[in-house]
Amino acid sequence: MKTRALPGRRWTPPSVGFCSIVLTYSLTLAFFAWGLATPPLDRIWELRHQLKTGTVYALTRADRELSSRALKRYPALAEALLPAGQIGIISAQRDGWVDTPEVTILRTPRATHTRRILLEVHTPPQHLPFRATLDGPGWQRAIEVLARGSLALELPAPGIEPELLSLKLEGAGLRADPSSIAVRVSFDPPGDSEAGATEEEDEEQERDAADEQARGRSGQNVERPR
Amino acid sequence: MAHSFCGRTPYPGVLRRLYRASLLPSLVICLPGVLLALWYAWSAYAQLDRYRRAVRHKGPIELEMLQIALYDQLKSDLRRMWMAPPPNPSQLDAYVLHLTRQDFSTLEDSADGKERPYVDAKLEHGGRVLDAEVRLRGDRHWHVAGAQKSLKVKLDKGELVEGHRVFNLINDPTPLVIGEQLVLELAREAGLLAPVSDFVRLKINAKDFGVFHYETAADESLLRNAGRLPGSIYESELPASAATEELWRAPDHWAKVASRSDSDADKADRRDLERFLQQVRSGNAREFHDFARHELNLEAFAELDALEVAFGAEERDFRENHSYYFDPYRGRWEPLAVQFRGFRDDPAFNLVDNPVLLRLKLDPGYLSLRDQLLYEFLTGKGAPAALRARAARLLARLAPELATDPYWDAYHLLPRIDAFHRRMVRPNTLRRLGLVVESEFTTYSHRHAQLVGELERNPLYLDLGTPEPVPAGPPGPPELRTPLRLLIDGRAGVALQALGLSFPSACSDASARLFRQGEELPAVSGDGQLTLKQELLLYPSAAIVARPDPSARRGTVRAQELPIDYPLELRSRCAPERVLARGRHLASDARVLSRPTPPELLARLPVQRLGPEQVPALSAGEAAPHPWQLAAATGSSEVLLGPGEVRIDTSRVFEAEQTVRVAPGTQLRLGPGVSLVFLGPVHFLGQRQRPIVISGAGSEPWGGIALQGPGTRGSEWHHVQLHGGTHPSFRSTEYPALVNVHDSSDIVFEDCQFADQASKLDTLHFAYVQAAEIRDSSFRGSPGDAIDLEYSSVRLRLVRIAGAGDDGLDLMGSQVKLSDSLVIGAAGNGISAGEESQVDVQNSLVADCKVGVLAKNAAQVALSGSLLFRNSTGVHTYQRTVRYAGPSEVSANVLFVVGSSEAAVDRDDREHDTLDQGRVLLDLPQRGTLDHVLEDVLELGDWEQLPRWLDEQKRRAP
Repeated sequence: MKTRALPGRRWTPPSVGFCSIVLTYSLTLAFFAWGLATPPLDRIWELRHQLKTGTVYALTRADRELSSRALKRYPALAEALLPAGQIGIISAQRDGWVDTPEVTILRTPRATHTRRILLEVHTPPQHLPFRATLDGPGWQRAIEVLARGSLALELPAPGIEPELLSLKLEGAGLRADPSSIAVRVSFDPPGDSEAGATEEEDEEQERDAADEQARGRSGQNVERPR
Repeated sequence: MAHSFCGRTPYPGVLRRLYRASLLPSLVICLPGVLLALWYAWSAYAQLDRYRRAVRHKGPIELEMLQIALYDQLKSDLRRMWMAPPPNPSQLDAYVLHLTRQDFSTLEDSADGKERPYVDAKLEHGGRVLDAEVRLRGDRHWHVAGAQKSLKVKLDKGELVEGHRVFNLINDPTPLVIGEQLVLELAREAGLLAPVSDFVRLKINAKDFGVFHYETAADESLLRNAGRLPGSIYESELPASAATEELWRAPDHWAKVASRSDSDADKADRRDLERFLQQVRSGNAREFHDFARHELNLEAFAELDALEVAFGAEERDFRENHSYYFDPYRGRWEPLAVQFRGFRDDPAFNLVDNPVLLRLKLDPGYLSLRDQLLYEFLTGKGAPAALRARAARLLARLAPELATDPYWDAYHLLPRIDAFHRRMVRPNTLRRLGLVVESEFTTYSHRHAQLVGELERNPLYLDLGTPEPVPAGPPGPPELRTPLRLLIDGRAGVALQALGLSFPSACSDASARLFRQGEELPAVSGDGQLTLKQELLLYPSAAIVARPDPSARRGTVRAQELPIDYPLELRSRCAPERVLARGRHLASDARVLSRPTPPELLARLPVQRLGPEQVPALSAGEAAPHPWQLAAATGSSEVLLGPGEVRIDTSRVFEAEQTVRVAPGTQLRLGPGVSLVFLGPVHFLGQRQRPIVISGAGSEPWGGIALQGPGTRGSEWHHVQLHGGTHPSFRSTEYPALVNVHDSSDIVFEDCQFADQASKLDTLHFAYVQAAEIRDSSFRGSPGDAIDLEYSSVRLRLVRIAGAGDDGLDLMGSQVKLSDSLVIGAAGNGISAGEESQVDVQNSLVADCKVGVLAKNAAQVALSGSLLFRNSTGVHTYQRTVRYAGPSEVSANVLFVVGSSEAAVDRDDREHDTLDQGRVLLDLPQRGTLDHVLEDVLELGDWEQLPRWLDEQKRRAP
């Protein structure tokens, strides 16, 4: 059977106009998509509160990466997230007694003195033994907790950027409840985890600086009141 | 004909044309998208730039910040697009402001300038439209930069909303929203002077501006609404250019926002503040102790301090946020709870101190009182669960309003990278609010646990020395004396109650005696127990230490608890082997037992303490004086005056611990200007036949008498005659009358006669007196008001007032029941009821006064069985709404208003005034009506005798 070739529908390239329309609206959509994407700092603010209250205690991979990038980008962020000092727990805890079986620890490059993480274990016997794993960027420490008492996990020297460490307590019966965990995490020596400016102190410094400036302009000295 | 890609539908044709569109039409098609994107980009940039300029941020705008601004912009627009209308009816009070376009522009423009001019407005509230003035309030960008601007509203004189003429509508930028409201509520419930506050919904020119925080100003209205008499309120106002010291050196940097009266002299008078500052700055330890005991409302200072500790507030620092009120009749200062910004965590109790707080902490007993109140709060209304429940109630009411607030925003919604990030105001949402509430309450729970733990700690330690023989002991076997040191190391003190003693088994006498500084403490002892008859208070102590983080605001120092030892001596026949102290924890009220003192604690005892005559420099290293060095409470004692003539040549102050009895028939002769001031109970025990007479020792007038403070509760005056006299003077307290009873309760005056007063002042003045009674007493020729009652509740029966230079009975904010009484010949009002007084007049006569009964400022007067006779005006009622809202009311079942020369009833024509007078009868009663008044009160046989009887009474009065 013979067939006759139909006149060919040849592909014609789009006009420059069409390309510009597609490009413009693609860019516009991308712009709005970018605008509507949750800003990393916004997510970190949210995470900070979620970690503190225990709503979130195991960081997802995405959150961990996002946090790491932000910590790298904003050197001041690490200290802002820490309750005090250069190393500390940023997940739910009170005075070191952790509320959750996964503990998020943040350490800055300046936490050079802290060599060990100490675990003060008061876990109810029915939840023993359990395994404690400390994860850092490219390293891991693990320990089997068999009985109540004090244990230590050695820390490698801090890197050049702030690090998120994750301490996982894995065992039967351990749940996000301080009475079931009953583990106190502290740092040895404690110097790096103490002191540090609060946000109010930051604000105050700023107000003081403004006042100092004003007093300087008026030629008066700042005196301590009697 | 339709052409198409496939040749069938019109759309492919359009697409084809689009596919082949030439450049120019394509650019036109692109334009909306480009413009929209550009508009949003520009808008985000502009917002960020406005913020940057407002906070004077120098750095460049980073792309990430621009994205945050764009994100906020888009999210806000999307939120507004789907936003429901505000709840109707709203759960919040609605305020509507009407401004002209020009005034609105002026208001908006003033955001950029330093001046904050008022513009005229109409305020619509509660169905009323009131004239008002409005201006922007606050300098920070969150107050003035956004669409929601903080406003100060001032109503026209005479207009009030909820009892206040001046109030603020604040755009609160805190993400917690309810934090300040929670603390202010708690402060008010604790009896502190705190502004009235709530959340309200504001519309301006019919446009909804969302939810604002309503707060009244710290002014006279605040005082009156809180049941305080008008007095000075000072607010610290230290300019940024001034040194911190200047605030505490002189009153120049304090604004006087309320004064005793509206007179220029009162407004300019700052002597009270000068004394306050002088005591804080340079009073020595003993002087300040005395000042604090008598002239500071320590409970209020401690209560505010406790709230600040509980919430970790740090606003009242060395430079800012100080506000104090001086109560003229209590003669005491109290702080105003005006700003907290709490919910912070810190290991320290006080995040920041200030000179007033430091002086208080160095004063024995203050810390103990503060910590007792703090513990009560933390285990009561401040318990995390209780606070959460309170917050939940607030949020349940507020959430629907916030969800529909088109301009709801907050700062602190980014991590604390720097101030620029932290203070950036961003749109808030219920989701974010939920997160912040959880987070802040977690902080509060942690702080709560830490504070309670520290407060409950047992601070009592005991250190037993080596016994040695007493050189000259009591008869019998030789006695041994054993040094015994009790130490307090902690936040709270201990009330020592008993000692448990262990002696060798061979000891035949297991009793002991306890001595303090050579003086034996009353106790019962035997069988190895020594029980004190009165608790011995062992207060904690404090020292001044350097702050690790000094700044002008925080200062360079702070107070810190310091161990303190209380040396005692135990005397016994046998050497004690072991001693155990038992006491009551002063914060938690729990029982505590002493523990042996560790050497480290002994080593921490200060080598030197401030002496009672030393002035603390508030510099690091100073330790509070030992409480026993300062004048200790003397213990209760009795003072008997009389019988017979008792001459007193200098003014006497009887302390709160002293009970004074004046014997029947005593004649107290007081020298010129000499006054008697009772801080404790006084019993004038005169008898009808043997009255007590108080008069001058010579021709010069004597001073006056004051019963001052709660210690005078239960004082009684029986059969006392007073002649002459002017007024007392004591410290800074104002005494406007010959006899003054202030801040007390359960006071009785019976058969007291006041006459021949030597000054032009009032005769009897009550302020803040509850459950008082005046009966069968007479006041003749009072130069001012005969009886002046302010914020008091008093029953008056058989009271006879004849001749008064001003009012017979002048009432302010009082509850009074007057029966079987006479008020005759007052130059002012017979009964003047003002300022929300509630007066019940029964079977009484008010005659020959300018006005018989006056009701003003929301007062209510109920008259029954009474006669208003021959007054210029019988009843006058009007409403002055300068401070009080609501109608004044006079009611009566049957009221006889007879012989009024001007008007029987004169009522103010203002629309809110009402006068419910029942029946007004204009002629004297017939027999059978008011017979009790005629026969028993006036002791007359016929009403026709009344005019003559009255003339006779007036002749007798000077």
